[in-house]
Amino acid sequence: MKGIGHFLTGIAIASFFPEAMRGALDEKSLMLLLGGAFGILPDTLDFRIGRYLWKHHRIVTPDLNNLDARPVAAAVAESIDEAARTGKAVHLKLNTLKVSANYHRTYSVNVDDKAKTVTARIGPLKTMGQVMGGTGFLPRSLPDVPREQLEAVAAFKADAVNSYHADTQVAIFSGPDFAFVPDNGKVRVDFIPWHRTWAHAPLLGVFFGLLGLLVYGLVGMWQGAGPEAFVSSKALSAFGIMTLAFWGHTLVDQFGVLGSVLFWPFSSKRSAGFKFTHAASVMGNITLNYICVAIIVGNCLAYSSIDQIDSALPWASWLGLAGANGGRAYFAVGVLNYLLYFMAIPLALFYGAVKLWPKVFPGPTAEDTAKDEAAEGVDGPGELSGD
Amino acid sequence: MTSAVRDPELLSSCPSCGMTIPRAAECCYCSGATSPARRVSEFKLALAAVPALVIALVLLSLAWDRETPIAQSADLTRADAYDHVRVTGVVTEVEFDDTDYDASDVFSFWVKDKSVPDGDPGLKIKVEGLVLHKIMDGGLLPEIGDTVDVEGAFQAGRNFRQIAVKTAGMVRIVERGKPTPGAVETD
Amino acid sequence: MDCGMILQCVGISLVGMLIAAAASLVPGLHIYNVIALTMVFVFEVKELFPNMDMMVLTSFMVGLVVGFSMLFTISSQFFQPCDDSSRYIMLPHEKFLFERRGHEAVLLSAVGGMVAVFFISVAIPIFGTYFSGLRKILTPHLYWIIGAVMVFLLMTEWPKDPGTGPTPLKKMFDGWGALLMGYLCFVLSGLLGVFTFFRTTVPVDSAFQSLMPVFVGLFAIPSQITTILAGVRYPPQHVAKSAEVYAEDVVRGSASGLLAGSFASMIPAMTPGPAMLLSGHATVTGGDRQFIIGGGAGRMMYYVGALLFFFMPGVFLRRGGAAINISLVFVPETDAQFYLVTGIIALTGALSFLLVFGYSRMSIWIARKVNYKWISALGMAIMAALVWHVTEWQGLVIMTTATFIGLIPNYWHTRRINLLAVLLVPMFLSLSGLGGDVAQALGIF
Repeated sequence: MKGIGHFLTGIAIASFFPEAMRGALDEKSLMLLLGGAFGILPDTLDFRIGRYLWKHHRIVTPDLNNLDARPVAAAVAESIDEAARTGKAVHLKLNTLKVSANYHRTYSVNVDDKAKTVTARIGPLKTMGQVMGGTGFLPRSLPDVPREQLEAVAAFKADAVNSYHADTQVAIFSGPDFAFVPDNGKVRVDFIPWHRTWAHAPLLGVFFGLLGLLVYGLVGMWQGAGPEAFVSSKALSAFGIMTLAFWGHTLVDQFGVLGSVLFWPFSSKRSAGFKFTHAASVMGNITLNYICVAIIVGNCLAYSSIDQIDSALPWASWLGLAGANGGRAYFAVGVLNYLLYFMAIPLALFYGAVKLWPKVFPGPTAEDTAKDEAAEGVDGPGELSGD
Repeated sequence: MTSAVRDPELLSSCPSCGMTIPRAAECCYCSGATSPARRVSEFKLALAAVPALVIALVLLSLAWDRETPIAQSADLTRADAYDHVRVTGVVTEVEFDDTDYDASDVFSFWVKDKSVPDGDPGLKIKVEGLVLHKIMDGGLLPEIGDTVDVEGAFQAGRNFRQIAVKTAGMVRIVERGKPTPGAVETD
Repeated sequence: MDCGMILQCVGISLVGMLIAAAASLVPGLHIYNVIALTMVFVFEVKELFPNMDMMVLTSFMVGLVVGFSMLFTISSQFFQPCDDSSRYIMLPHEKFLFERRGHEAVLLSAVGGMVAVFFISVAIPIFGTYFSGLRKILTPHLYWIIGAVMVFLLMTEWPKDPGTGPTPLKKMFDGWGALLMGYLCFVLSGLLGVFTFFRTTVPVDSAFQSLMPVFVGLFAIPSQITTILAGVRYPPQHVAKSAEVYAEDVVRGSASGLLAGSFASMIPAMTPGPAMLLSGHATVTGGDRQFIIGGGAGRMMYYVGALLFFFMPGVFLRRGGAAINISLVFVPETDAQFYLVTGIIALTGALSFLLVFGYSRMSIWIARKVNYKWISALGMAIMAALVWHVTEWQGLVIMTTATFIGLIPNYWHTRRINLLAVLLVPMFLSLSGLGGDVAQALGIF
């Protein structure tokens, strides 16, 4: 998921801790921020440290002055075979090609594990910014090179398994990394292999939690408490928040395509994700973010003293339960009410709207598309080169 | 580059960037859609202002029509604190605290409406500072016996209730009157 | 409310809108800079016409704010092109400029602004009280929400290096160089903010505008300097008679912008920039059009939506420079006043939307006749003069200091959002009760 989703997940987890909420109201405590910080920490560690520590066995950098897809395809295919032959993982990096401060020359690689081929294509120029587009490409920017250099296919012999997307584009910033890992007689193709490894391991979360417990304990002792400061409510809450927020990140990531290395340092194998969604999924991200915000606001409401609480619990009144402190049943009904009115119904409306959208705003009709196709010239966009 | 592309029959102008391009669904310079089915004209976009103007008219009508409802002063409680309220009634008492600075002068008067029992001077209305002097400059300071229509922020605590007037125009003299028997002017 | 008063207010609001249109020609001139000057004018009028109902002057300010919100980015679009040697990422509206379709970008932004006008004038009067309820729940938590935004900003900037260094250390240095400069920016801006909040040297009479020289120095002047030094020429602009805009882009872009504007209006020290970063991530906006539409909606919602909450009975939220300045002369009280202001927003919003079509054409014409560098130089002179006029030489010193900080993101390719620490840090410290202690520890209090 996007970073904001992990951040909100961490804060939502922290908001379940009474010490954090009471501390926020009474002492201006920053414990809730620990949830957010440790919720996003795994990705921060990966992208700011992990990627620099990763060793590459092969680095591919096409020549900007003589763009040629053939060496790219060959390098990838050879890496797959090398992994199968040696029985050791081969780490490959495809470098980006910066043309100017604003444009990169793109190329793409497609590993077809069924056909045992690697197809590399030199693409158009791409602008900076992840969400430029339509496609973010500068049209009419294919290079003026022979066709055989624009697209190349290389075969490999080993049996491969490609668990991520088949087509990978090399565009801006730092290029993609691959690991070709021998696994039960086949070569597994791992995308960004350094991501979601040690930095996402649950054991690291426990380590951070213990660190938090230690820090809060030491601060408690410095403030005059004895060794019991290490098992104080604050110290234990810090441990819980930091560990669970960290684990929350790993759990949320499991719902995507790529999993995490769950048993580091005992195993370096990255689990497969549940594939319920993917990192850039609109529905997945919005749903997660909304649920987290609703949880945070709900917990803030639970700890607030404003009178609106009664008006949010009509069922409790209908059931004739006693006032705000009417016990477990009243509280349970309140929680159910909140889940229904502020989570289930809004999300249902949202999903309903998304389902209805194509009916209310249909895309171009067949007639429109036919008109457009009839209007197309001899060459489609992006293939007009040399002009 | 084929010669067909240079045929004027197959060329058009991109509606987004204005460049001359071969006919295609997307412009090869700016990637903008060229088909009218995918574009909205400036005129249609401008039409979006029309419902906004209608909404403006409705809202301005509400502004013209809307008045703060008149409350019975006895019905105002601590739950109404900080609300903007309006009361009408007769002025039974006045009190002017003239200090050395205009900004800290305070004028208080008590308004009695039908909900107030006999013997009770009514609800206290407080006007101070520059607002007070603006009222004074307009000759609109209430006197005992006047019927007034007052709006302001209702303030209530354990043992006090009053309306604080924040704007000069919120004190309106409905009718100048004679002092009622037993009315008191304090200084 | 008296019909004459309503007509007076509507009329003066149109004057405010037109003045905003004129002032919007100065690129980089922020809406709150103009409000600063306007307040000086307002105080003079108040002295000269003591019997004038302050609702009239308030309506003038509202028209000014609405006009600005719709129009003030147009001049930046055409008079401050992006020089890719000093920027790492070209934003969508800048890309459109280089593709000759700057006018279309302006139209898209205006569409977003118009959606926000509809939302403000219809949804807020109907559902605004729920906002009040939410605000009550979150008020005790504002300090850590601001803290959370700061933590998010600091932890989620990824290195932008190409990863081609010969050694891991060199690669890390390439990546972390910009990040560390971003942190330095954050710290320096934060210190400047603490100084401004606790020990500004701006004269007392101008203390209500103590942030003005800071913001001009951090954002406006560096933009102008960068533009003057830019070596870029952009192609002639095509005035499109239509825009490529889809319902999905309008809905998703506007939703993101409205969410950002609402968040920024609820949380003190929050501005559209970080709010739109957060909302863009949260709603996964994609594509140029959604980004541009979202920007237009977010700006309108923040500047105007937050202002409307100031007039909402039961809420009276003083958020943003406009509301704070208006509160110096006017106290909103009645429903009638609220509906009047909302009606003025809808009216001036619609009219300024219609102005966009001609305004953009005029800007394109000006850009064709006058080199944008001269426009930026003039803009810089105007803003410096404004700072001097409102905050005297002390403000100029602060502005100059802030300028040096504001130039860091441009030339080290780090995020400009880090500069907003000037607001976030002191507000966070104040709300968490640490402000005084920190200021004392720094020796400025």
